[in-house]
Amino acid sequence: MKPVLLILLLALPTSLMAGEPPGNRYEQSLLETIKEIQGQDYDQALNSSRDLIRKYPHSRLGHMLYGDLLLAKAEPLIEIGSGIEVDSAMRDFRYEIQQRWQHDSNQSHENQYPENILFLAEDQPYVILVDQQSSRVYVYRNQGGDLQLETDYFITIGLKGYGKEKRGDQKTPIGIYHVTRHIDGSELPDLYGEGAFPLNYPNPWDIRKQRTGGGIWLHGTPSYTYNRSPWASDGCIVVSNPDFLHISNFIKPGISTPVIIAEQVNWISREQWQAQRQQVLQLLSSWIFDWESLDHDRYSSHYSRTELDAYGRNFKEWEGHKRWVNRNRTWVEIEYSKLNVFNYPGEDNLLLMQFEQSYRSNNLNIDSPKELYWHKDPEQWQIVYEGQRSFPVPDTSIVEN
Amino acid sequence: MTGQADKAIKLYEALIRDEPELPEPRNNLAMIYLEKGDYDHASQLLVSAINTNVSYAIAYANLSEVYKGIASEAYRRAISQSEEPAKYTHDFNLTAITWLDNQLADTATHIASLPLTSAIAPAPVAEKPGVIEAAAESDEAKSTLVNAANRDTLLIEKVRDGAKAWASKDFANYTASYIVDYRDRFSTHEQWVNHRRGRIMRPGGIKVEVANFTVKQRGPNRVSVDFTQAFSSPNYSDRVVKRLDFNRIGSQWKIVSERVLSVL
Repeated sequence: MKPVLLILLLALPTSLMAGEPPGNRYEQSLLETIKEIQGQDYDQALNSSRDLIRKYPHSRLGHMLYGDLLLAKAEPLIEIGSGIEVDSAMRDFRYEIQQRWQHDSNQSHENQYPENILFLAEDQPYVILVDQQSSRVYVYRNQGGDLQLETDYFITIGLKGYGKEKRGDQKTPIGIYHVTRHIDGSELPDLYGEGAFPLNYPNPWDIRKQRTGGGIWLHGTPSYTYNRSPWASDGCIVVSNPDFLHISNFIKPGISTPVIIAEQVNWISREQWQAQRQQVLQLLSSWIFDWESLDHDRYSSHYSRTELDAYGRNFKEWEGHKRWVNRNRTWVEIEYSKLNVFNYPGEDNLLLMQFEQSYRSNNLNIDSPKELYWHKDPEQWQIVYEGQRSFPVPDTSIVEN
Repeated sequence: MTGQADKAIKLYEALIRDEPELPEPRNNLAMIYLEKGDYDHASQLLVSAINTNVSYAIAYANLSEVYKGIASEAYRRAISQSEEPAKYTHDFNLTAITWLDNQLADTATHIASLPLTSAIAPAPVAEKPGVIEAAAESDEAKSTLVNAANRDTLLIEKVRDGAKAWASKDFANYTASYIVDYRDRFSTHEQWVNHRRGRIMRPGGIKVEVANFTVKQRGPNRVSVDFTQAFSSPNYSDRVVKRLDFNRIGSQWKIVSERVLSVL
């Protein structure tokens, strides 16, 4: 008996050994039931739906399918959920099934790279990537600079979708953030379930775009349901409670876990990914090279005349300041380390670079964490924002959960 | 009210004891339990009513009411937002429904179509502000896809029904799948009918299993269905890939040609 068991255990895929997210096991049982319905194996489907709600008593979709299959014994059932009399609820349930179904059948994330993540610094072990159109969050592991898909979860976003602009618009932001802290569920109302990770929305780019609001969190689920519908929150990102505990293993409050919230992730081949990384390094090197040359025209050609915000200065102010501080420089040496580079979501041709900058010169030495936003307009990459890398800020008291 | 119901329960229970072979008292007693929301009792009694007389149609209809009752409980739970949703009034671990499933699966189950594959799932985004324009166009495309999916399901169902009619020697239903003047390789429709009748009504049990359907649009009113067919009779069996061409005639789809594409 024992040797057989051992062999079975060894045969398990490693991902299972590492612990698949509980929500994905739930999702598989759900989709199995739906596949049985599609295969017209209604008796099996009825049994499966009953097993599902026995195992997940708070699965609203499970109860719906159980209802459908019983109703099908009494009258023709035209579509899944058609016995539900509340239209909005029926629509939400169908949308959830569609989102889960599509994720299950579309495997483009399996062997491709997300275009948003080009470089990850060595002190960033994981990155969180949200694909709002697919109702999914992915966790990538930093494997010596390469990206390894760790796992993924079904998520809920804002009731009105994505692209947050104003306080109270019930949308989830698009942008690049980090987690400011962890709040345990015991300190929060039932709505947040197992707990919450507040995000630093609005970030400098949001502020530049005059976006308002705050209190965008990643949090758990209230106790009345296993999970919430795809579009249901007031702008927060919501995962099921078992998944919240699971994803907590990968999130460290502070800047070490970037949270990239995209409208839709663009998946590219490894070759395309490598090519983009090359271009980025060239861009960064040419900026440093021209800065070190102390040739002011070459250096300033990297900065946008019309869009620049460098430590609060526009191009004219920045240029005057630079001429003034460089007047006594005889040599300058710039080095960077701990480089993050992201294609900024929701914007055409916007790159975010984050790194530790070491500045050495004949009369001044400074080490500082830096953030550069580059915009390609129309064909040249130029810096549109330069500033101190933002550190965790206390989250605001108003929560758009 | 309760007193009256209790009285009626006693009355029917006595009647069932005295006349155990009558379905009516069992059915009527079931109705009292159904009224009370006691689905377990109601369904058990209805099944026992059917067991005393399998053609007692009222009990089947009332069973449907039991299913509907439980279904509505399930739906209520599905949309409930209270922390402790109401419990089911029946015990779905033990309920009589478990063995009803098997008894009634063939007679009472209908799910016409379930448009749920990735391309045709309904998209509620149309209702969400902000993306209305984008959704308008694709909704139209989706509704065509839904129609196509419904049609595909319908035609697959027709092939299945035809196979069932064949296997059960229901000759009238078998020929009804074809256009009225269908003659295959024969020179008249009557010759084809006589030939098929001879084949199908031959004594001895037969089995016809159909699977692996592929539905293709061949013209505005013409669709083909390819499938595998496993036929077995006491002295012959084969497995073939078959193609049936359907034409839409009025609101009906009828078989206009039938071919064996390959033998497996």
